[in-house]
Amino acid sequence: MRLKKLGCTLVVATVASVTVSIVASAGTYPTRLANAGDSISQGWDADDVPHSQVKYSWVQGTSSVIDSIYSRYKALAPKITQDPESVFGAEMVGGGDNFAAQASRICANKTPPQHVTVLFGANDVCNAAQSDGPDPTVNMYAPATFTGAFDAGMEELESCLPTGATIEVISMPRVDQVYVAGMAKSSWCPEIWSIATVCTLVTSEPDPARRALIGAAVDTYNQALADDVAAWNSNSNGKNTAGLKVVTDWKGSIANGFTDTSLGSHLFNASEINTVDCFHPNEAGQAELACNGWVNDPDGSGVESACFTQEGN
Amino acid sequence: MKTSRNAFVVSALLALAACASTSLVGCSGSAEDSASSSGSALSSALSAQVLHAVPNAVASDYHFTTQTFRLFGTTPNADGGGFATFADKSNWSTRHVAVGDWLSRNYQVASITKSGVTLRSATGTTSLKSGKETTINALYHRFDTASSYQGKNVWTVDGKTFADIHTQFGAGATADERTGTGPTAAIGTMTTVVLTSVDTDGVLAHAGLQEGSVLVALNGTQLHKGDLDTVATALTKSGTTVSLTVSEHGAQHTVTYNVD
Repeated sequence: MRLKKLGCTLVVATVASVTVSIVASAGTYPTRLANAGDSISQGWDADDVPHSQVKYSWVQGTSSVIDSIYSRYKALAPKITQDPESVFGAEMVGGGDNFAAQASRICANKTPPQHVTVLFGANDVCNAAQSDGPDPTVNMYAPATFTGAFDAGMEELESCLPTGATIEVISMPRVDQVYVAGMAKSSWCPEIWSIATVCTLVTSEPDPARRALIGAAVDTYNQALADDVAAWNSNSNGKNTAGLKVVTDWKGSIANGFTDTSLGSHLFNASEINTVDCFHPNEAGQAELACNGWVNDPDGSGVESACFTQEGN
Repeated sequence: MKTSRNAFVVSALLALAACASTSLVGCSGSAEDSASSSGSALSSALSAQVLHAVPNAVASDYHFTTQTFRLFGTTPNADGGGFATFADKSNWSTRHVAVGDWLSRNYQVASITKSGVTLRSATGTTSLKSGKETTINALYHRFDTASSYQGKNVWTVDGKTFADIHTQFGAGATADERTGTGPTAAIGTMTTVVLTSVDTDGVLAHAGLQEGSVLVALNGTQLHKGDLDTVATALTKSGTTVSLTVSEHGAQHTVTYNVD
Protein backbone atom coordinates (compact mmCIF):
# COMPACT_ATOMS: atom_id res chain seq x y z
CA MET A 1 0.00 0.00 0.00
CA ARG A 2 0.97 3.58 -0.59
CA LEU A 3 1.30 4.55 3.09
CA LYS A 4 3.49 1.59 3.82
CA LYS A 5 5.78 2.59 0.99
CA LEU A 6 6.20 6.14 2.29
CA GLY A 7 6.81 4.87 5.80
CA CYS A 8 9.49 2.52 4.59
CA THR A 9 11.26 5.31 2.73
CA LEU A 10 11.28 7.39 5.91
CA VAL A 11 12.95 4.61 7.87
CA VAL A 12 15.50 4.17 5.12
CA ALA A 13 16.41 7.84 5.28
CA THR A 14 17.37 7.50 8.92
CA VAL A 15 19.41 4.33 8.51
CA ALA A 16 21.75 5.52 5.83
CA SER A 17 24.18 2.63 5.86
CA VAL A 18 21.68 0.08 4.61
CA THR A 19 19.68 2.24 2.32
CA VAL A 20 20.71 1.43 -1.20
CA SER A 21 18.93 -1.82 -1.91
CA ILE A 22 15.98 -0.99 0.29
CA VAL A 23 15.41 2.37 -1.33
CA ALA A 24 15.56 0.74 -4.70
CA SER A 25 12.74 -1.62 -3.84
CA ALA A 26 10.69 0.71 -1.71
CA GLY A 27 10.73 3.80 -3.85
CA THR A 28 10.49 2.23 -7.28
CA TYR A 29 7.42 1.27 -9.22
CA PRO A 30 7.49 -1.34 -11.94
CA THR A 31 8.81 -0.19 -15.28
CA ARG A 32 7.10 -3.02 -17.14
CA LEU A 33 3.76 -4.72 -16.60
CA ALA A 34 2.32 -7.88 -18.11
CA ASN A 35 -0.99 -9.62 -17.85
CA ALA A 36 -2.33 -13.09 -18.46
CA GLY A 37 -6.03 -13.67 -18.84
CA ASP A 38 -9.12 -14.08 -20.98
CA SER A 39 -11.74 -11.94 -22.68
CA ILE A 40 -12.48 -10.01 -19.50
CA SER A 41 -8.93 -8.65 -19.66
CA GLN A 42 -9.45 -7.94 -23.36
CA GLY A 43 -12.33 -5.61 -22.53
CA TRP A 44 -14.60 -7.80 -24.62
CA ASP A 45 -17.84 -6.05 -25.65
CA ALA A 46 -17.20 -3.45 -22.95
CA ASP A 47 -18.57 -0.58 -25.02
CA ASP A 48 -21.40 -2.69 -26.47
CA VAL A 49 -19.50 -3.38 -29.69
CA PRO A 50 -18.88 -7.10 -30.18
CA HIS A 51 -15.11 -7.23 -30.33
CA SER A 52 -12.04 -6.84 -28.14
CA GLN A 53 -12.06 -3.33 -26.73
CA VAL A 54 -8.74 -3.34 -24.97
CA LYS A 55 -8.80 0.36 -24.23
CA TYR A 56 -11.66 -0.44 -21.86
CA SER A 57 -9.87 -3.33 -20.19
CA TRP A 58 -9.58 -3.17 -16.41
CA VAL A 59 -5.93 -4.18 -16.58
CA GLN A 60 -4.45 -2.95 -19.87
CA GLY A 61 -6.93 -0.22 -20.84
CA THR A 62 -6.04 3.34 -21.70
CA SER A 63 -9.45 4.98 -21.39
CA SER A 64 -9.88 7.42 -18.54
CA VAL A 65 -13.37 5.96 -18.08
CA ILE A 66 -11.78 2.78 -16.78
CA ASP A 67 -8.65 3.99 -14.97
CA SER A 68 -7.02 0.63 -15.51
CA ILE A 69 -4.13 -0.90 -13.60
CA TYR A 70 -1.86 0.23 -16.45
CA SER A 71 -3.21 3.79 -16.31
CA ARG A 72 -2.79 3.99 -12.56
CA TYR A 73 0.81 2.82 -12.77
CA LYS A 74 1.46 5.18 -15.68
CA ALA A 75 0.31 8.07 -13.54
CA LEU A 76 2.99 7.08 -11.03
CA ALA A 77 5.67 6.05 -13.51
CA PRO A 78 5.07 7.72 -16.89
CA LYS A 79 7.66 5.64 -18.76
CA ILE A 80 6.06 2.35 -17.84
CA THR A 81 5.36 -0.16 -20.65
CA GLN A 82 3.17 -3.23 -20.80
CA ASP A 83 3.04 -6.67 -22.38
CA PRO A 84 -0.59 -7.78 -22.52
CA GLU A 85 -0.84 -11.49 -23.25
CA SER A 86 -4.51 -12.12 -22.45
CA VAL A 87 -6.47 -13.94 -25.16
CA PHE A 88 -10.19 -14.19 -25.84
CA GLY A 89 -11.50 -17.57 -24.73
CA ALA A 90 -8.45 -18.57 -22.72
CA GLU A 91 -8.75 -20.97 -19.83
CA MET A 92 -6.52 -21.46 -16.83
CA VAL A 93 -6.31 -25.15 -17.78
CA GLY A 94 -7.31 -26.03 -21.32
CA GLY A 95 -6.41 -25.06 -24.87
CA GLY A 96 -3.37 -23.46 -26.40
CA ASP A 97 -3.65 -20.07 -24.70
CA ASN A 98 -3.90 -21.22 -21.11
CA PHE A 99 -2.07 -19.58 -18.23
CA ALA A 100 1.11 -21.60 -18.71
CA ALA A 101 1.19 -20.77 -22.44
CA GLN A 102 0.67 -17.06 -21.77
CA ALA A 103 3.26 -17.13 -19.00
CA SER A 104 5.79 -18.66 -21.38
CA ARG A 105 5.05 -15.83 -23.86
CA ILE A 106 5.64 -13.29 -21.11
CA CYS A 107 8.97 -14.96 -20.42
CA ALA A 108 9.86 -15.00 -24.11
CA ASN A 109 10.02 -11.21 -24.18
CA LYS A 110 13.43 -9.59 -23.89
CA THR A 111 12.44 -7.45 -20.94
CA PRO A 112 10.70 -9.38 -18.17
CA PRO A 113 8.04 -7.46 -16.25
CA GLN A 114 8.21 -6.70 -12.55
CA HIS A 115 4.44 -6.99 -12.21
CA VAL A 116 2.08 -9.58 -13.70
CA THR A 117 -1.69 -9.63 -13.29
CA VAL A 118 -3.55 -12.91 -13.71
CA LEU A 119 -7.28 -13.45 -14.25
CA PHE A 120 -8.63 -16.78 -15.51
CA GLY A 121 -11.38 -19.19 -14.69
CA ALA A 122 -14.67 -18.11 -16.27
CA ASN A 123 -14.00 -20.11 -19.44
CA ASP A 124 -12.87 -23.12 -17.42
CA VAL A 125 -16.35 -23.14 -15.92
CA CYS A 126 -18.37 -22.07 -18.95
CA ASN A 127 -16.70 -24.55 -21.32
CA ALA A 128 -17.53 -27.54 -19.15
CA ALA A 129 -20.06 -29.84 -20.76
CA GLN A 130 -23.54 -29.87 -19.31
CA SER A 131 -24.67 -32.88 -17.34
CA ASP A 132 -28.18 -34.27 -16.98
CA GLY A 133 -27.12 -36.08 -13.82
CA PRO A 134 -27.70 -34.90 -10.28
CA ASP A 135 -24.45 -32.92 -10.20
CA PRO A 136 -24.24 -30.18 -12.86
CA THR A 137 -20.56 -29.64 -12.04
CA VAL A 138 -19.43 -33.19 -12.78
CA ASN A 139 -17.67 -32.19 -16.02
CA MET A 140 -15.85 -29.23 -14.49
CA TYR A 141 -12.14 -29.64 -13.85
CA ALA A 142 -11.29 -31.01 -10.43
CA PRO A 143 -9.92 -28.18 -8.24
CA ALA A 144 -6.55 -29.93 -8.17
CA THR A 145 -6.43 -29.80 -11.97
CA PHE A 146 -7.21 -26.09 -11.85
CA THR A 147 -4.43 -25.37 -9.38
CA GLY A 148 -2.13 -27.81 -11.18
CA ALA A 149 -2.45 -25.66 -14.29
CA PHE A 150 -1.94 -22.53 -12.21
CA ASP A 151 1.26 -24.00 -10.80
CA ALA A 152 2.58 -24.66 -14.32
CA GLY A 153 2.10 -21.00 -15.22
CA MET A 154 3.66 -19.88 -11.96
CA GLU A 155 6.69 -22.08 -12.56
CA GLU A 156 7.14 -20.43 -15.95
CA LEU A 157 6.97 -16.95 -14.42
CA GLU A 158 9.21 -17.91 -11.51
CA SER A 159 11.84 -18.93 -14.02
CA CYS A 160 12.05 -15.50 -15.66
CA LEU A 161 10.73 -12.73 -13.42
CA PRO A 162 13.21 -10.64 -11.45
CA THR A 163 13.61 -11.20 -7.75
CA GLY A 164 10.81 -9.60 -5.78
CA ALA A 165 8.47 -9.18 -8.74
CA THR A 166 4.75 -9.10 -7.99
CA ILE A 167 2.10 -11.45 -9.33
CA GLU A 168 -1.46 -10.40 -8.56
CA VAL A 169 -4.04 -13.15 -9.01
CA ILE A 170 -7.65 -12.05 -9.33
CA SER A 171 -10.44 -14.43 -8.36
CA MET A 172 -12.89 -15.55 -11.03
CA PRO A 173 -16.43 -14.19 -11.19
CA ARG A 174 -19.44 -16.16 -10.02
CA VAL A 175 -20.96 -16.87 -13.42
CA ASP A 176 -24.24 -17.86 -11.80
CA GLN A 177 -24.46 -14.32 -10.44
CA VAL A 178 -23.76 -12.92 -13.90
CA TYR A 179 -26.71 -15.00 -15.11
CA VAL A 180 -28.91 -13.33 -12.50
CA ALA A 181 -27.73 -9.92 -13.66
CA GLY A 182 -28.47 -10.79 -17.30
CA MET A 183 -31.95 -12.02 -16.51
CA ALA A 184 -32.61 -8.73 -14.76
CA LYS A 185 -31.17 -6.71 -17.63
CA SER A 186 -33.43 -7.66 -20.51
CA SER A 187 -35.79 -10.31 -21.79
CA TRP A 188 -33.62 -10.79 -24.88
CA CYS A 189 -30.57 -11.81 -22.85
CA PRO A 190 -31.70 -15.47 -22.76
CA GLU A 191 -32.24 -15.29 -26.53
CA ILE A 192 -28.73 -14.08 -27.27
CA TRP A 193 -27.30 -16.58 -24.81
CA SER A 194 -29.01 -19.33 -26.79
CA ILE A 195 -28.10 -18.11 -30.29
CA ALA A 196 -24.50 -17.35 -29.40
CA THR A 197 -24.02 -20.19 -26.91
CA VAL A 198 -22.96 -17.96 -24.07
CA CYS A 199 -21.81 -19.91 -21.02
CA THR A 200 -24.40 -22.60 -21.58
CA LEU A 201 -23.46 -24.44 -18.40
CA VAL A 202 -25.38 -21.79 -16.47
CA THR A 203 -27.48 -20.00 -19.09
CA SER A 204 -29.14 -23.28 -20.16
CA GLU A 205 -29.67 -24.41 -16.61
CA PRO A 206 -33.25 -23.58 -15.55
CA ASP A 207 -32.94 -24.87 -11.99
CA PRO A 208 -31.68 -22.19 -9.55
CA ALA A 209 -30.54 -24.85 -7.10
CA ARG A 210 -28.33 -26.43 -9.75
CA ARG A 211 -26.97 -23.01 -10.77
CA ALA A 212 -26.13 -22.47 -7.11
CA LEU A 213 -24.09 -25.67 -7.18
CA ILE A 214 -22.10 -24.24 -10.09
CA GLY A 215 -21.60 -21.06 -8.08
CA ALA A 216 -20.39 -23.09 -5.12
CA ALA A 217 -17.92 -24.85 -7.41
CA VAL A 218 -16.58 -21.45 -8.44
CA ASP A 219 -16.11 -20.65 -4.75
CA THR A 220 -14.15 -23.88 -4.40
CA TYR A 221 -11.89 -22.91 -7.31
CA ASN A 222 -11.32 -19.47 -5.83
CA GLN A 223 -10.49 -20.85 -2.39
CA ALA A 224 -8.14 -23.48 -3.84
CA LEU A 225 -6.46 -20.79 -5.91
CA ALA A 226 -6.08 -18.52 -2.87
CA ASP A 227 -4.55 -21.36 -0.87
CA ASP A 228 -2.09 -21.98 -3.71
CA VAL A 229 -1.28 -18.28 -3.93
CA ALA A 230 -0.50 -18.28 -0.21
CA ALA A 231 1.79 -21.29 -0.65
CA TRP A 232 3.66 -19.51 -3.44
CA ASN A 233 3.91 -16.25 -1.53
CA SER A 234 5.26 -17.88 1.61
CA ASN A 235 7.34 -20.36 -0.40
CA SER A 236 5.86 -23.12 1.71
CA ASN A 237 5.67 -25.11 -1.52
CA GLY A 238 9.43 -24.65 -1.98
CA LYS A 239 8.97 -23.36 -5.53
CA ASN A 240 9.35 -19.61 -5.03
CA THR A 241 13.10 -19.29 -5.01
CA ALA A 242 12.87 -15.94 -6.83
CA GLY A 243 11.15 -14.36 -3.86
CA LEU A 244 8.09 -13.43 -5.89
CA LYS A 245 5.37 -11.51 -4.10
CA VAL A 246 2.15 -13.36 -4.92
CA VAL A 247 -1.17 -11.84 -3.83
CA THR A 248 -4.87 -12.34 -4.52
CA ASP A 249 -8.05 -10.34 -4.05
CA TRP A 250 -9.97 -13.36 -2.69
CA LYS A 251 -10.89 -13.17 0.98
CA GLY A 252 -13.79 -15.55 1.17
CA SER A 253 -17.10 -16.49 -0.38
CA ILE A 254 -20.47 -14.80 -0.46
CA ALA A 255 -21.83 -17.67 1.63
CA ASN A 256 -19.25 -16.95 4.30
CA GLY A 257 -20.10 -13.26 4.50
CA PHE A 258 -17.48 -11.80 2.17
CA THR A 259 -19.86 -10.32 -0.39
CA ASP A 260 -18.27 -7.69 -2.65
CA THR A 261 -14.80 -8.04 -1.15
CA SER A 262 -13.32 -9.46 -4.37
CA LEU A 263 -14.31 -10.12 -7.96
CA GLY A 264 -15.14 -13.69 -7.00
CA SER A 265 -17.57 -12.59 -4.31
CA HIS A 266 -19.17 -9.74 -6.22
CA LEU A 267 -22.91 -9.83 -6.77
CA PHE A 268 -23.17 -8.56 -10.32
CA ASN A 269 -26.09 -6.38 -11.33
CA ALA A 270 -27.62 -5.41 -14.66
CA SER A 271 -25.80 -2.09 -14.91
CA GLU A 272 -22.39 -3.78 -14.93
CA ILE A 273 -22.76 -6.10 -17.94
CA ASN A 274 -22.87 -5.17 -21.62
CA THR A 275 -25.89 -5.28 -23.91
CA VAL A 276 -24.27 -7.44 -26.58
CA ASP A 277 -23.79 -10.75 -24.80
CA CYS A 278 -25.31 -9.85 -21.42
CA PHE A 279 -22.32 -11.50 -19.80
CA HIS A 280 -19.06 -9.61 -20.08
CA PRO A 281 -18.50 -6.49 -17.97
CA ASN A 282 -19.34 -3.20 -19.65
CA GLU A 283 -17.33 -0.03 -19.08
CA ALA A 284 -18.80 0.43 -15.62
CA GLY A 285 -18.03 -3.18 -14.75
CA GLN A 286 -14.49 -2.91 -16.11
CA ALA A 287 -13.94 0.23 -14.02
CA GLU A 288 -15.03 -1.69 -10.94
CA LEU A 289 -12.62 -4.51 -11.75
CA ALA A 290 -9.81 -1.96 -12.14
CA CYS A 291 -10.64 -0.49 -8.76
CA ASN A 292 -10.68 -3.95 -7.17
CA GLY A 293 -7.38 -4.84 -8.83
CA TRP A 294 -5.76 -1.66 -7.58
CA VAL A 295 -7.03 -2.05 -4.03
CA ASN A 296 -5.41 -5.47 -3.87
CA ASP A 297 -2.19 -4.45 -5.61
CA PRO A 298 0.74 -4.04 -3.20
CA ASP A 299 1.34 -0.65 -4.81
CA GLY A 300 -2.33 0.29 -4.77
CA SER A 301 -4.74 1.86 -2.36
CA GLY A 302 -8.40 2.04 -1.44
CA VAL A 303 -10.99 -0.37 -0.11
CA GLU A 304 -12.97 -2.99 -1.99
CA SER A 305 -16.32 -1.81 -0.66
CA ALA A 306 -15.88 1.44 -2.57
CA CYS A 307 -15.21 -0.40 -5.82
CA PHE A 308 -18.34 -2.39 -6.46
CA THR A 309 -21.78 -1.03 -7.14
CA GLN A 310 -24.00 -2.58 -4.55
CA GLU A 311 -27.38 -1.78 -5.99
CA GLY A 312 -29.88 -4.57 -6.26
CA ASN A 313 -30.80 -6.30 -9.43
CA MET B 1 -13.95 -22.06 -29.84
CA LYS B 2 -16.03 -23.91 -27.40
CA THR B 3 -14.29 -26.74 -25.66
CA SER B 4 -16.75 -29.47 -24.92
CA ARG B 5 -15.09 -31.88 -22.59
CA ASN B 6 -17.50 -34.58 -23.68
CA ALA B 7 -16.09 -34.47 -27.16
CA PHE B 8 -12.62 -35.86 -27.00
CA VAL B 9 -11.46 -34.87 -30.45
CA VAL B 10 -8.25 -36.78 -30.45
CA SER B 11 -7.00 -35.80 -33.87
CA ALA B 12 -7.51 -32.12 -33.20
CA LEU B 13 -5.90 -32.48 -29.84
CA LEU B 14 -2.94 -34.15 -31.41
CA ALA B 15 -2.74 -31.29 -33.88
CA LEU B 16 -2.75 -28.85 -30.99
CA ALA B 17 0.54 -30.26 -29.87
CA ALA B 18 2.57 -28.36 -32.48
CA CYS B 19 5.00 -31.23 -32.50
CA ALA B 20 8.57 -30.58 -33.43
CA SER B 21 9.16 -33.81 -35.26
CA THR B 22 12.47 -35.43 -34.70
CA SER B 23 14.43 -36.60 -37.68
CA LEU B 24 13.86 -40.20 -38.45
CA VAL B 25 17.59 -40.59 -38.89
CA GLY B 26 18.98 -41.56 -35.55
CA CYS B 27 15.60 -41.45 -33.86
CA SER B 28 15.38 -44.33 -31.50
CA GLY B 29 12.62 -46.64 -32.57
CA SER B 30 11.89 -44.54 -35.64
CA ALA B 31 9.35 -45.55 -38.22
CA GLU B 32 12.10 -45.81 -40.82
CA ASP B 33 13.91 -48.34 -38.69
CA SER B 34 10.85 -50.45 -38.95
CA ALA B 35 10.23 -50.17 -42.67
CA SER B 36 12.31 -51.20 -45.63
CA SER B 37 11.41 -48.10 -47.67
CA SER B 38 9.44 -44.93 -47.17
CA GLY B 39 6.55 -45.91 -49.37
CA SER B 40 6.29 -49.45 -48.12
CA ALA B 41 3.62 -51.08 -46.08
CA LEU B 42 4.17 -51.16 -42.35
CA SER B 43 6.68 -53.66 -41.10
CA SER B 44 5.57 -56.03 -38.40
CA ALA B 45 7.69 -54.15 -35.87
CA LEU B 46 6.03 -50.83 -36.66
CA SER B 47 2.61 -52.40 -36.88
CA ALA B 48 3.08 -53.70 -33.38
CA GLN B 49 3.70 -50.17 -32.10
CA VAL B 50 0.83 -48.51 -33.98
CA LEU B 51 -2.06 -49.16 -31.65
CA HIS B 52 -4.27 -46.62 -33.41
CA ALA B 53 -3.78 -46.92 -37.15
CA VAL B 54 -4.82 -44.72 -40.04
CA PRO B 55 -6.31 -46.77 -42.88
CA ASN B 56 -4.06 -47.16 -45.95
CA ALA B 57 -1.05 -45.63 -44.21
CA VAL B 58 2.47 -46.53 -45.27
CA ALA B 59 5.60 -46.50 -43.15
CA SER B 60 6.70 -43.02 -44.19
CA ASP B 61 3.41 -41.57 -42.93
CA TYR B 62 4.53 -42.22 -39.38
CA HIS B 63 7.20 -40.50 -37.32
CA PHE B 64 8.35 -40.52 -33.73
CA THR B 65 8.60 -37.39 -31.61
CA THR B 66 10.10 -37.10 -28.17
CA GLN B 67 7.50 -35.28 -26.10
CA THR B 68 7.26 -34.29 -22.47
CA PHE B 69 3.77 -34.17 -21.02
CA ARG B 70 2.67 -32.84 -17.68
CA LEU B 71 -0.49 -34.28 -16.21
CA PHE B 72 -2.34 -31.18 -14.96
CA GLY B 73 -4.83 -33.43 -13.24
CA THR B 74 -7.72 -35.80 -13.53
CA THR B 75 -11.46 -35.36 -13.26
CA PRO B 76 -12.71 -38.90 -12.72
CA ASN B 77 -16.37 -39.65 -12.23
CA ALA B 78 -18.19 -42.29 -10.26
CA ASP B 79 -18.63 -44.79 -13.10
CA GLY B 80 -14.91 -45.06 -13.84
CA GLY B 81 -15.04 -42.52 -16.63
CA GLY B 82 -14.13 -38.86 -16.57
CA PHE B 83 -11.12 -37.30 -18.19
CA ALA B 84 -7.52 -36.36 -17.65
CA THR B 85 -5.79 -33.20 -18.81
CA PHE B 86 -2.30 -33.45 -20.27
CA ALA B 87 -0.20 -30.47 -21.33
CA ASP B 88 2.53 -30.70 -23.95
CA LYS B 89 5.38 -28.95 -22.19
CA SER B 90 6.81 -27.53 -25.43
CA ASN B 91 3.97 -25.04 -25.70
CA TRP B 92 1.57 -26.00 -22.89
CA SER B 93 -1.28 -26.88 -25.26
CA THR B 94 -3.55 -29.33 -23.50
CA ARG B 95 -5.33 -32.53 -24.37
CA HIS B 96 -8.38 -33.82 -22.55
CA VAL B 97 -8.44 -37.59 -22.78
CA ALA B 98 -10.81 -40.27 -21.52
CA VAL B 99 -10.18 -43.97 -20.99
CA GLY B 100 -9.63 -45.51 -24.41
CA ASP B 101 -8.45 -42.25 -26.01
CA TRP B 102 -5.05 -41.96 -27.62
CA LEU B 103 -2.29 -39.69 -26.39
CA SER B 104 -0.41 -40.60 -29.55
CA ARG B 105 -0.64 -43.46 -32.02
CA ASN B 106 1.32 -45.69 -29.65
CA TYR B 107 0.00 -44.63 -26.24
CA GLN B 108 -3.56 -45.17 -25.07
CA VAL B 109 -5.20 -44.10 -21.84
CA ALA B 110 -5.88 -47.30 -19.89
CA SER B 111 -7.29 -45.91 -16.65
CA ILE B 112 -7.98 -42.64 -14.87
CA THR B 113 -8.09 -42.30 -11.10
CA LYS B 114 -8.18 -39.39 -8.70
CA SER B 115 -4.43 -39.49 -8.35
CA GLY B 116 -3.29 -40.12 -11.90
CA VAL B 117 -3.40 -41.94 -15.20
CA THR B 118 -2.13 -45.22 -16.58
CA LEU B 119 -1.02 -45.29 -20.21
CA ARG B 120 -0.83 -48.46 -22.29
CA SER B 121 1.62 -49.08 -25.10
CA ALA B 122 2.92 -52.10 -26.99
CA THR B 123 5.70 -52.45 -24.46
CA GLY B 124 3.61 -52.24 -21.30
CA THR B 125 2.01 -49.68 -19.05
CA THR B 126 3.20 -46.35 -17.66
CA SER B 127 1.68 -44.69 -14.61
CA LEU B 128 1.72 -40.94 -14.16
CA LYS B 129 0.63 -38.96 -11.13
CA SER B 130 -1.08 -35.58 -11.31
CA GLY B 131 1.35 -32.69 -11.42
CA LYS B 132 4.17 -34.89 -12.68
CA GLU B 133 5.84 -35.04 -16.06
CA THR B 134 6.71 -37.89 -18.36
CA THR B 135 8.70 -38.00 -21.59
CA ILE B 136 7.59 -40.47 -24.21
CA ASN B 137 8.67 -41.39 -27.71
CA ALA B 138 5.32 -40.57 -29.27
CA LEU B 139 4.34 -41.98 -32.63
CA TYR B 140 2.25 -39.83 -34.95
CA HIS B 141 0.78 -40.09 -38.40
CA ARG B 142 1.50 -37.12 -40.65
CA PHE B 143 -2.20 -36.19 -40.48
CA ASP B 144 -1.86 -35.69 -36.73
CA THR B 145 0.78 -33.01 -37.15
CA ALA B 146 -0.61 -31.29 -40.25
CA SER B 147 -1.59 -28.26 -38.21
CA SER B 148 -0.12 -26.49 -35.25
CA TYR B 149 -1.58 -23.86 -32.99
CA GLN B 150 0.60 -20.77 -32.72
CA GLY B 151 -1.38 -19.07 -29.97
CA LYS B 152 -3.77 -16.12 -29.96
CA ASN B 153 -6.12 -17.78 -32.45
CA VAL B 154 -3.52 -18.31 -35.18
CA TRP B 155 -2.89 -21.72 -36.76
CA THR B 156 -0.37 -22.97 -39.26
CA VAL B 157 -1.75 -25.58 -41.64
CA ASP B 158 0.01 -27.86 -44.13
CA GLY B 159 -2.29 -27.42 -47.12
CA LYS B 160 -1.05 -30.45 -49.04
CA THR B 161 -1.57 -32.77 -46.10
CA PHE B 162 -4.96 -31.20 -45.41
CA ALA B 163 -5.84 -31.99 -49.03
CA ASP B 164 -4.94 -35.61 -48.36
CA ILE B 165 -7.06 -35.60 -45.22
CA HIS B 166 -9.91 -34.07 -47.22
CA THR B 167 -9.61 -36.76 -49.88
CA GLN B 168 -9.59 -39.56 -47.33
CA PHE B 169 -12.01 -38.31 -44.69
CA GLY B 170 -13.77 -35.20 -46.04
CA ALA B 171 -14.74 -32.17 -43.94
CA GLY B 172 -15.93 -34.51 -41.25
CA ALA B 173 -18.69 -32.57 -39.56
CA THR B 174 -22.42 -31.90 -39.51
CA ALA B 175 -24.09 -28.65 -38.55
CA ASP B 176 -27.29 -26.85 -37.67
CA GLU B 177 -28.06 -23.26 -38.52
CA ARG B 178 -29.51 -20.75 -36.09
CA THR B 179 -30.84 -17.31 -36.87
CA GLY B 180 -32.05 -14.70 -34.46
CA THR B 181 -32.22 -10.99 -33.90
CA GLY B 182 -29.27 -9.62 -32.03
CA PRO B 183 -29.82 -7.29 -29.13
CA THR B 184 -28.30 -4.22 -30.75
CA ALA B 185 -27.97 -2.60 -34.13
CA ALA B 186 -24.30 -3.51 -34.02
CA ILE B 187 -25.26 -7.15 -34.28
CA GLY B 188 -28.52 -6.99 -36.24
CA THR B 189 -29.78 -10.34 -37.46
CA MET B 190 -27.36 -13.04 -36.49
CA THR B 191 -26.92 -16.36 -38.29
CA THR B 192 -24.64 -18.99 -36.84
CA VAL B 193 -23.63 -22.47 -37.91
CA VAL B 194 -23.28 -24.78 -34.94
CA LEU B 195 -21.28 -27.97 -35.42
CA THR B 196 -23.44 -30.81 -34.15
CA SER B 197 -20.90 -33.56 -34.72
CA VAL B 198 -17.23 -33.61 -35.64
CA ASP B 199 -15.39 -36.66 -36.98
CA THR B 200 -11.98 -36.78 -35.33
CA ASP B 201 -10.41 -37.84 -38.64
CA GLY B 202 -11.87 -35.04 -40.77
CA VAL B 203 -10.43 -31.71 -41.87
CA LEU B 204 -12.43 -29.57 -39.46
CA ALA B 205 -11.25 -31.52 -36.44
CA HIS B 206 -7.66 -31.04 -37.58
CA ALA B 207 -8.41 -27.32 -37.76
CA GLY B 208 -9.25 -27.34 -34.06
CA LEU B 209 -13.02 -27.28 -34.48
CA GLN B 210 -15.16 -29.35 -32.18
CA GLU B 211 -18.73 -30.29 -31.58
CA GLY B 212 -20.38 -27.10 -30.41
CA SER B 213 -18.07 -24.76 -32.32
CA VAL B 214 -20.08 -21.87 -33.76
CA LEU B 215 -19.06 -20.66 -37.23
CA VAL B 216 -20.16 -17.36 -38.72
CA ALA B 217 -18.12 -16.44 -41.81
CA LEU B 218 -15.30 -17.63 -44.05
CA ASN B 219 -13.04 -14.84 -45.30
CA GLY B 220 -15.84 -12.41 -44.52
CA THR B 221 -18.60 -14.32 -46.31
CA GLN B 222 -21.55 -15.49 -44.22
CA LEU B 223 -21.61 -19.24 -43.74
CA HIS B 224 -24.58 -21.58 -43.84
CA LYS B 225 -24.86 -25.16 -42.70
CA GLY B 226 -24.20 -26.52 -46.18
CA ASP B 227 -20.85 -24.74 -46.41
CA LEU B 228 -18.71 -27.02 -44.28
CA ASP B 229 -16.95 -28.56 -47.26
CA THR B 230 -16.19 -25.07 -48.56
CA VAL B 231 -14.43 -24.35 -45.26
CA ALA B 232 -12.52 -27.61 -45.47
CA THR B 233 -11.47 -26.98 -49.08
CA ALA B 234 -10.23 -23.49 -48.24
CA LEU B 235 -7.85 -25.02 -45.72
CA THR B 236 -6.17 -27.09 -48.45
CA LYS B 237 -5.07 -24.12 -50.58
CA SER B 238 -1.35 -23.70 -49.96
CA GLY B 239 -0.01 -20.17 -49.88
CA THR B 240 -3.23 -18.60 -48.63
CA THR B 241 -4.49 -17.15 -45.39
CA VAL B 242 -7.94 -18.23 -44.28
CA SER B 243 -9.98 -16.17 -41.83
CA LEU B 244 -12.71 -18.04 -40.06
CA THR B 245 -15.09 -15.94 -38.00
CA VAL B 246 -16.44 -17.85 -35.04
CA SER B 247 -18.82 -16.86 -32.31
CA GLU B 248 -18.12 -17.59 -28.73
CA HIS B 249 -19.81 -16.34 -25.63
CA GLY B 250 -21.84 -13.86 -27.61
CA ALA B 251 -19.06 -12.23 -29.55
CA GLN B 252 -17.43 -12.88 -32.86
CA HIS B 253 -13.72 -13.27 -33.30
CA THR B 254 -11.43 -14.39 -36.07
CA VAL B 255 -9.32 -17.50 -36.21
CA THR B 256 -6.52 -17.18 -38.76
CA TYR B 257 -5.11 -20.16 -40.64
CA ASN B 258 -1.84 -19.66 -42.47
CA VAL B 259 -1.92 -22.42 -45.07
CA ASP B 260 1.60 -23.45 -46.05
